[in-house]
Amino acid sequence: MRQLVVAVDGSEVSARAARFALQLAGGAKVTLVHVCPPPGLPTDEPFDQLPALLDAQRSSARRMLAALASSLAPASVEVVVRDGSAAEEVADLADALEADLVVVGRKGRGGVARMLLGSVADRLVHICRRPVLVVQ
Amino acid sequence: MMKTIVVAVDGSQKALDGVRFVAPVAKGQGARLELVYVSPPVLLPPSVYADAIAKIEEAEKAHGDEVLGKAAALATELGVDSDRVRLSGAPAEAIADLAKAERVWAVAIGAHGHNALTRVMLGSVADRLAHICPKPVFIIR
Repeated sequence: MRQLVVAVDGSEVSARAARFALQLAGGAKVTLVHVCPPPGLPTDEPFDQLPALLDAQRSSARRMLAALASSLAPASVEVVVRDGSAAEEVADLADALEADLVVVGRKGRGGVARMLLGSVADRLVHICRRPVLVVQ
Repeated sequence: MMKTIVVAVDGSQKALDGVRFVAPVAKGQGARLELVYVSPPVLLPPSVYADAIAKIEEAEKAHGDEVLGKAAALATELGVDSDRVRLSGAPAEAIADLAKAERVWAVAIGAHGHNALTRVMLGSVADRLAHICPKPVFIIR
């Protein structure tokens, strides 16, 4: 394998997915990606706050990815932050990087406790054109 | 105990791609492959078709052995040791059940097998397995 992409949302399962990916990686490049969802704003919120909100989301995502990346040291990993719909963006990045494997935690931060497969993992295994590994 | 990667095979090309995909992973992990073929239940009223069912099951058994044989030959060619398992029942459930064993490190399955509609990106067995499998699942495309 040459390139792995790991979808990270800050949950413990996604950290486990990253560690699992490193076990597989050998000499392959590992890219951690976090996707910032569009902020859900109440309709009376002034829209001029949107850029600031997005910036805050992105920098918090970068901090989270940097912390995870340093916990995985000495392996060197790349981090990417994107905006949009999580599964779609991860699948798109995987195509762009010609990833050999996309790794995702079965259940992330959101979601209903009784659901075994989170909505992002579920959508990703449906739409991704590359092999996907779902980690428990 | 030797750790294993379960690979679901159904005679489709995608399933053999699964063997190709996990062979180097198994080598890296020092794991064997556990090739599994699941025969779905034969749905015929037993009182009327008892003989037919026996014949179908016999043919299905032979087919399963042939499919497993091809997958095992490919594994050997790729330099990985493998075992063969033939199960019957609902495929995703049977595979998830097998994956409960401590030796099983991960499971691999083709995104769709023989029953695929080409417009469907993910087959029902792979979809269900991703939901219920107690171990990591590789979905091969």
